[in-house]
Amino acid sequence: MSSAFRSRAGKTIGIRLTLYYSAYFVASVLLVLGLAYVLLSTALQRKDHQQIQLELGELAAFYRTGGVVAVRDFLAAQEASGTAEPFTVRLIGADGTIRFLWRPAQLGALDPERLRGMPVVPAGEWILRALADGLSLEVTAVDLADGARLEVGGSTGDRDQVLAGFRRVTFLTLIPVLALGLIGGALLASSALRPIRQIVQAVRAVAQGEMRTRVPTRQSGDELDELIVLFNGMLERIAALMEGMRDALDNVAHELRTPIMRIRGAAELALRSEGDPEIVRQAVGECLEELDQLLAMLNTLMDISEAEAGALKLRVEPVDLSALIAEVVELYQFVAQDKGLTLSTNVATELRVMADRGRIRRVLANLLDNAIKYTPEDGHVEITIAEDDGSAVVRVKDTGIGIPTDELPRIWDRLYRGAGGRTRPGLGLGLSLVRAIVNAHGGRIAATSAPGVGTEFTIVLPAELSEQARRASATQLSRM
Amino acid sequence: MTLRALIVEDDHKIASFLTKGLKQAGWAIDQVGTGEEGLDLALSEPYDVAVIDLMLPGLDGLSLIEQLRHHHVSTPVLILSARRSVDDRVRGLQAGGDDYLTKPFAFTELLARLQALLRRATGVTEPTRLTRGDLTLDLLTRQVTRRERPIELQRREFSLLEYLMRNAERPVSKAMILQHVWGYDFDPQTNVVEVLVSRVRSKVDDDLPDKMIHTIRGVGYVLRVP
Repeated sequence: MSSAFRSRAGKTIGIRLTLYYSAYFVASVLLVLGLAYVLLSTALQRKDHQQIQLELGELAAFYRTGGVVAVRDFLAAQEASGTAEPFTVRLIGADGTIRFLWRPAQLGALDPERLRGMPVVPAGEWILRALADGLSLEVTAVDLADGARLEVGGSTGDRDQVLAGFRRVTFLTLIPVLALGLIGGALLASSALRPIRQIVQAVRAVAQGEMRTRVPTRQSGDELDELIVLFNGMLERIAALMEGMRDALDNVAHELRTPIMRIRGAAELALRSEGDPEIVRQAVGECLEELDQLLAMLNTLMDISEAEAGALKLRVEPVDLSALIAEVVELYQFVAQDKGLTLSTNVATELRVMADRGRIRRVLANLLDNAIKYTPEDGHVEITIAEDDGSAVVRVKDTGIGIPTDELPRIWDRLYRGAGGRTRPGLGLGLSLVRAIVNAHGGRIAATSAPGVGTEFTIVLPAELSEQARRASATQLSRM
Repeated sequence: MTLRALIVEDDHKIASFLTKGLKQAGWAIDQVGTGEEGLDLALSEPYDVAVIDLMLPGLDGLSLIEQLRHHHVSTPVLILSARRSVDDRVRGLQAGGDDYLTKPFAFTELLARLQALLRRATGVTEPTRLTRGDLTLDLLTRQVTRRERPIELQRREFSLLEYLMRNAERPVSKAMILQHVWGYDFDPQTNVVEVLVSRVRSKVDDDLPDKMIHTIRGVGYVLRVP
């Protein structure tokens, strides 16, 4: 349902874009044509007016020299010679009577009576009169010396014809213009929406479980390209997270299987023992030990996910790192001694950091635990601290079996355990917890290792907590 | 004198596990499943100690403890909870609880904690010298002898033996030892406790036929007088 909705929405945008584009295109063409029409019609009118005024001036000159007779003779002579201008002439005496009326042969359709009955035209003005079907007359007038008024009019027919032609052509052009606009709009919309369609397709594929789907980039460097790059990056990250979760889940399931099998075996043994109290005691004890292991693993997993989700609330206080290291070293002293390892520190330098004491102690204990576990007899484990640019640097160095270079980046994964570690006690959760805690303090941790030579872990802890970590711990304190 | 304990726990299995265990240890037990019943009993009966679960139907554990303290009932309270965050712990203690134990827990640990609560409540004066069988530990001079023969112990070894002797005949778990001897509340992967116990054992029991320090599989360690 939602995907149908999405695709319909996409089409609506496409149609809208097409319509906007073609409307804009047609409007632009119309505007240009309209402007041309106005310019053309003004130019034609100006030309007509010039000709009428020329005729008016000429006739007025004849009138001055020979009165009405001269005017009539001139017009008749013109007509006879075939050079008559297509203008009407009306002469109104000072008393208001019409003294002369002339209708050129070209305007045969004009009823002289209508010409006669036309209202008087004020001198110097232009009057437009529709005098017959399809015949409009544009008339202007001039006052003569004896108080008479001479009016000359010309048909607007030619001009109207040209303009009508123009309008017709415009109208005819509109059809291809509209078609062009629609096609152009559709092309534009389709090309503008192509990346969006591709993203929609990719999202749909991802929603259906195709996590490997990516939107092809176009290398155009525009905003949509940026969106695609970001979108692909997001998919990449989601896929990595999901894979990580799947791996972690697989590993957890695997890690759970072993102790559960042991518990099951022990319980079965107890049941089959036919009441031998020693065997039952042994079996139940084994169950308890395995269950405690499971519980420890579950607790650590919860701590890790809490820390990784950024929900780890640090109880920050000033911590003397040297004293803390001495304390942790003391915890492992007997174990190291038993294994024939030397354990040394340079905790003489006092170094204070703002940190969660309990959690940093756990970090140090985990690292030392690992170092001792993976260092063979007669080896050496060393913890040193130093100050570097306002940060505390803690190094845990051993002469242990080391970590192969290709496995080094994976040691932080939950439940990862090196090939040598599989058979040893303990759960491969330590290092991911270590890293999560160090990161929550705004610090960094790195490992270098050479197989057969040893491993060195370096923790850099800021002496002062970052603003973010401080806020987290402040809310923690205020809640207490 | 029989000790009386009130258990307020709605989960039947845990409740019966607690009741049976404490009865075996010689205690008199009243067990109820709701906060209201627990409040009624605690207000009317004189208990030496109360074990209260936080998640109860009706009146919850925290409110129950607050009510008790409000009515000036000062019976020591051990809180049981499935939540293990420091915040929850602090909240429980602030409400008036005296100790806090996270589920799942070892019965040994519960018993040890209850006894510690009782010791604190009754204010028994601490002895300066512990004697179990032919083993003696002097808390002031820090001298340890077995059969009159002195035993040299380092600081942590001394602390472990003292803990085992105080809890003689009662098993203590690895987690309890870790907590008591080093003050650690998490389990290191390498078995530091095992190593320490075997060191102490070699000094106390070696060369003698009657052993005092025993390992109980799945539970922990116990010091028994042979």
